[in-house]
Amino acid sequence: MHEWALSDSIASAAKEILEKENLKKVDEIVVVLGEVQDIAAKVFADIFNDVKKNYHGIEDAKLTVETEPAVFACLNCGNVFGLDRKGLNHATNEAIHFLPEMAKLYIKCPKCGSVDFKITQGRGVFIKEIKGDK
Amino acid sequence: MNLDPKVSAVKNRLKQVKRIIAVSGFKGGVGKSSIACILALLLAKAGKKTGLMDLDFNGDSCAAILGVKQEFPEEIFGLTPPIISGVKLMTPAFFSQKKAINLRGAEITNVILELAAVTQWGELDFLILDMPPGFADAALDIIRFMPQAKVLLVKTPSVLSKTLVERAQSVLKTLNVSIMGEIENLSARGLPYDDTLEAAYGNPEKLKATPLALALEKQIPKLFNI
Repeated sequence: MHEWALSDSIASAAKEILEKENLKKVDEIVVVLGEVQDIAAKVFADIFNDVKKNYHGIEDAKLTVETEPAVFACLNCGNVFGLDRKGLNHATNEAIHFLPEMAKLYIKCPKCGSVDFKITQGRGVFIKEIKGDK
Repeated sequence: MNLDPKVSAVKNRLKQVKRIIAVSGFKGGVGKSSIACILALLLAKAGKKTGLMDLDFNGDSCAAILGVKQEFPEEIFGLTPPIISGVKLMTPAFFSQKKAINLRGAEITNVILELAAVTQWGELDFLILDMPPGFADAALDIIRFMPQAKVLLVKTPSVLSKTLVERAQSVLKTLNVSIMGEIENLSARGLPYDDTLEAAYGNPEKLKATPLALALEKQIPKLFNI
């Protein structure tokens, strides 16, 4: 499943930080899931708790998941707006789930109708913080 | 901190890929995408495990060249590319529903990273990249994220193409990117102008039988040392 690859990328990146900063182990990883990518937090956490066993030094890391709402800014009229999935079919939601930027192909600024907007918040998955023992 | 984990994941996904070949023309219209697709088909025909990734987001055409219709990557530990005539294909066309991809530079970089981080190529002898023209964000980022890629330059006899390739070579040198070879397209000395190509687009078997493919096939042993 796609979430497996994303969870694995979190563990892999944490392992790189562990090595770079000479940490003995990682205690906690704070991950932010953006609304646009629409990752189920519970599924993500369950997969991560399995995947982390493959990475020495990460096995005991606690995963804290935060979610972030989507915010779009229209580059044509300056309007700031959120994600409205009304009218998006399954295939479109899947495309945005895999590649969040593809939202620009299916969503328009509700004020001026432009497709030239940027995702300023809530895009996808990123690591907010890694806590570990030196 | 705000760390993007995808950069780390790309390395893992490419671990079983022996050679990455970035087919780049640096100028539009030199036949780069056709050559990238036909090259991938010919390598697969020669028994090599081959993948093809369309990274020319503003002009993605690999799906059209290969005649991809309803295929979609399978979701197993990421995305498993569908196999088209022996070639594992990943393209933004799977997600764009035939719409123009109206993304800006940094957004294209994000999408390339996302795709590269979740695509499960498995074991490959060759991963062919259909590169975007020029040296905008996407091209530079691909070089940064896949430093093992070697560039196959595609040019035409036109002075316009040659000038750009010469400039590109100098930039690639400063970036420490290896150039594995050059192909001259639309040329009496290299790959011929092929007026049968248009009718073969969308049909991989016909593409492999075109005069251009037959001429390219002869160059493969020397280009790739196989």
